Amino acid sequence: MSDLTETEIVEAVRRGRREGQTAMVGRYAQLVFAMIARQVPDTLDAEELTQDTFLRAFDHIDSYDAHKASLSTWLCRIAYRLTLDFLKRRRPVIVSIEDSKVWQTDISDEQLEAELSTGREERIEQLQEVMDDLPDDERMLLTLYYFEDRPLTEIAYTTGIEAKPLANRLYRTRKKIFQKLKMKDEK
Amino acid sequence: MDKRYNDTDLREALHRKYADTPQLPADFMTKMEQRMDTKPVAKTRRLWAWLSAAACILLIIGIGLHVQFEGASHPIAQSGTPNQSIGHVQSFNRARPVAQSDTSNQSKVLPNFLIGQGQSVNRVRPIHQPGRPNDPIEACQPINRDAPIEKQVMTDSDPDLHYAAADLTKDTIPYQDPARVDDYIFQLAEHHQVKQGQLTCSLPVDSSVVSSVYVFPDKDEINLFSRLLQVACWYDTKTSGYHLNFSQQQFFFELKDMRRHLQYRWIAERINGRILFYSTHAPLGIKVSSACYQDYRNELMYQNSFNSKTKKL
Repeated sequence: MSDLTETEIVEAVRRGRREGQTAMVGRYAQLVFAMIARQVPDTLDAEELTQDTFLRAFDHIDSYDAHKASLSTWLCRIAYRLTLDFLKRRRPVIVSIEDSKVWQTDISDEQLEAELSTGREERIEQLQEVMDDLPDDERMLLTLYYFEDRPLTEIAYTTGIEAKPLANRLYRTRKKIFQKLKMKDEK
Repeated sequence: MDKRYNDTDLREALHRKYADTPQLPADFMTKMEQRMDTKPVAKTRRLWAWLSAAACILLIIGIGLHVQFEGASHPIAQSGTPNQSIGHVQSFNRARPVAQSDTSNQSKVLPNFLIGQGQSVNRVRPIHQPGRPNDPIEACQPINRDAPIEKQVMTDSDPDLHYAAADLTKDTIPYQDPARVDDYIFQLAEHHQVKQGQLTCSLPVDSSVVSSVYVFPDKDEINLFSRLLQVACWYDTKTSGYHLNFSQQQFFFELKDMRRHLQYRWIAERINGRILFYSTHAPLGIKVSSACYQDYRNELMYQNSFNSKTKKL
């Protein structure tokens, strides 16, 4: 592992120096790969997307602003876009008819949180199934928020969506999940 | 904003789901270095960027000159020739709203008790032809809501009121028949020789739920998405059950017909050079699943991949 600091890595990559590029890959490849591999089931595809992420980062290093985000967050931002594009090409996004009913469900934030925190084994298993039915961007949002435990402001930077609309989207996704669980229960 | 939701079930489900996230392959760095070696230098990218910018500018100038030339040499065409551009909306003669008496409507409307007995609504083709499939596309024009409704219709001179407003009532908005969307699509499909397929979207099978599907080629000459948007814009946003959602990839439109107690849904999606268009109407309150659409799409995609594989063999 290289001893270069983040600033030094960025500077070296800006100058097109190979050791900077190698250091960047060595330090962040696992993080980026893990993020991609969670959404892209094929390891070879995930590997290729990880490589694409770094190559794009080398090309666009001039646009990186250390005041806005850390280098790892910036790389995740690139990885997020590439992964979404890849998934879109693979399977078109389908809006379920049930999606349009999401806003018709009248449930408070607290109730929703209680419904999604029952601790019941059956509910957790149902949630694992429901997760697969979600659109890619919503599933990625949940992964970043709940699994990677990132703050909303950081996710906002990663996804390129402003924090407030992002918070709404998160709420909407949780509500959708609740709706789907309810439908499963009814069945 | 930074409120953290606990949602422990959700967290646990995600942790279980991603417990086995694969590790970075051991030879990743070697492969990466190979790609770094073969990657073209950034200068090539810059050259392409400059070339693209120059091409765009030339294209804009070209279009500008063309439009100018057309305007100078064909002044009449601007007011009468059908044009696919949404920008030329105001220049066309628009269909006028026609006030229909209740008696004229009776032949087309099935009584509610029939719907209640599980019969599908067999619509008679409308007397007033909805916009022909080869008509130019018109952009949305807001309906003048400030003017009194009766005046809007009776004067028969409001160019913004579409023929979809087919009846006079004392309601807050004029009645607009959602079935006209289906009529329009039916004609469009006929014009482009696209066959209509039937789907079963209710389990158990309920004959009052009528679903059909069309597979349109995704061609500029049909321009289906723009046409669908145009159709959606016929309807006042205050129409019962109005729900419109669209993107470059998808179109979703929903309406309710409170007179006939029917709910309508139309969904279009772009897939591999084609547009799948689904249409469903069902009595109000009946749940309609979208699984039939997904099944149809999967079946279609499976057939395609099978056919292409067979061709290769």
